[in-house]
Amino acid sequence: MKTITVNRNVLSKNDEIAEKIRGELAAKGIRMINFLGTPGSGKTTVLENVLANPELDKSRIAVIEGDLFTDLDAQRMAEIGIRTIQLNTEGACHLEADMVEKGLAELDLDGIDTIIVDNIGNLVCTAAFQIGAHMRVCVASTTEGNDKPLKYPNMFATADVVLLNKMDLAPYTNFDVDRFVSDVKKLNPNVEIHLCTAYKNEGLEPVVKLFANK
Amino acid sequence: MHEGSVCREIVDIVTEAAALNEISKVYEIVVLVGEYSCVNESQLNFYFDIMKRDTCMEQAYIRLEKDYSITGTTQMYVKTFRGE
Repeated sequence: MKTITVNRNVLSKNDEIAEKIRGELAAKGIRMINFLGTPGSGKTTVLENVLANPELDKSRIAVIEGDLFTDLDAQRMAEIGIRTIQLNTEGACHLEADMVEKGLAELDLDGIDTIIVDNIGNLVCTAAFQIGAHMRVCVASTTEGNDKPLKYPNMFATADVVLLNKMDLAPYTNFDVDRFVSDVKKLNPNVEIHLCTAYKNEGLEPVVKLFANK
Repeated sequence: MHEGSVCREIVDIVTEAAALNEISKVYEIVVLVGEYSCVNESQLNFYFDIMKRDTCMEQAYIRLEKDYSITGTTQMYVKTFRGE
């Protein structure tokens, strides 16, 4: 009987593809943003309202939509004139780097400097799989309960920006905004947190700025 | 929840390392996980029992070992395996 030492990252195959994507996009002057969050937190609604902002040049932004089924989100993006492709995982609860690589190959990147990946709604698996993005934005909402950061720590610990959506509904819930903010900061002291109500286009200026700045 | 994908990778990594070390029977695989890996040992072994069929791991199981010093996005490592 022998004991063999391996010490290899379980997701190294995925992470190597992610690293390759990240490098290739950076070489083309493109940055990719991974949009994550719970189903129904408002990821696509945030994108819809931000991307419709006249301050943004829509011709330089593309979106990769990830869902289990349907192209409903890609249709929403197409309606506002955004170059989009839809990835359907048909059951898989997260996007993996090789799926994104295939999606990128289908996407016309001419003139594009920002790609947004509207990931599958999920706080667990999507956090574990790198897809080659340069930044993670997590969308949470007041109807989910303020305990989510501590329950799904990996998501909140690895996000660069956290948006708390549906602020208009906060008075009708027992959501404790201060508690939410302090729990996220505890997990991730450098994170940016912004409060918004996406469908009313309120509080989205920081995201517009984020997409506008190279 | 993503144990299927994780299991597939573990099987590939151990298959490769076993061949390299001339191991034909693997008995125990130790996977080091961080506090936030979100991988469940019994779910992982549920997938493993299916995926290990007709491989050198047919008699093996996967044991998770927690290491709280692991932080960041990479939360899982195949640490060691025992075999002959």
